[in-house]
Amino acid sequence: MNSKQNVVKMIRKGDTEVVFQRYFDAPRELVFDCHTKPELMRRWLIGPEGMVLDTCEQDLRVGGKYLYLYADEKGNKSGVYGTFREVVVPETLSNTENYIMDMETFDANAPEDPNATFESRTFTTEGKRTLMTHLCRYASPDICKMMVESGAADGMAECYLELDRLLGEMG
Amino acid sequence: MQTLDATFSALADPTRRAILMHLAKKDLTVMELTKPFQMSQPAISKHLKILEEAGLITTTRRAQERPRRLQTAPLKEAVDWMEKYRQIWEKRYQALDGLLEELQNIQPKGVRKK
Repeated sequence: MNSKQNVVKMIRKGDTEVVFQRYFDAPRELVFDCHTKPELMRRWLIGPEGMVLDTCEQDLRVGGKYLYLYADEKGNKSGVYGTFREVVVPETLSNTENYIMDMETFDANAPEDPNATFESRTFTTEGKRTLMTHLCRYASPDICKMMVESGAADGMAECYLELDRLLGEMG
Repeated sequence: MQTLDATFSALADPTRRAILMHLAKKDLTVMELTKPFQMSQPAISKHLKILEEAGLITTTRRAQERPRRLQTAPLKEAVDWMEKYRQIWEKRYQALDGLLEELQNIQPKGVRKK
């Protein structure tokens, strides 16, 4: 493993957006490939609690659709799907994101939820490293509000840091 | 979720977070809290009221005094909630780190094993 571990930084932006930032010690072409090529995505895009990426369909073009299904050992599936909104190789990737709540009723061809989450990933070269900025915008601010209910404009990351410190002190 | 709302709302204010930091060390009365913040007692009391409503502190008794005590349960709940989200990505990206390293070892110039 890396001695200097790159960690995910989480920043709050506006009242519906959360931004994750993460450095990778690799050129952005590679990092971009890992986000777009199914054979590479399967290698790292693990699901919550050990679920693996079972289905990975990608139509990588503006207006194209994607479908990622995660499966656990018992064969239970869940996943996300959406439409690509912006594809600029190897710089930017934007898409909508919908959560599949119930496989029984899931229909990939049904009209997309107008309240789908929007996300975009931007890959920037910084020396030999790549900075990935992953923005999530919640169309209905409820989810975001739930995360960061506040009127204050100060970065949520700052709040986390303080909380981390506080919890650390409490041991 | 209502609890989370109240927790985040209470934590949104830097003064209130600072109050919690002080209470993390020991129970303190309103008067004792007034000093480090150079704020009036009513101003501190107002913040304490919000923290108490969010369940982040309680009022205890010590002779004539009413020191406030930090309650960590709602804090933990809030942090856990955020952490779970972040950790999923952290785990994925750590796996990606490994993959990127592998890909870079195969690709660069020169001889590599097939």
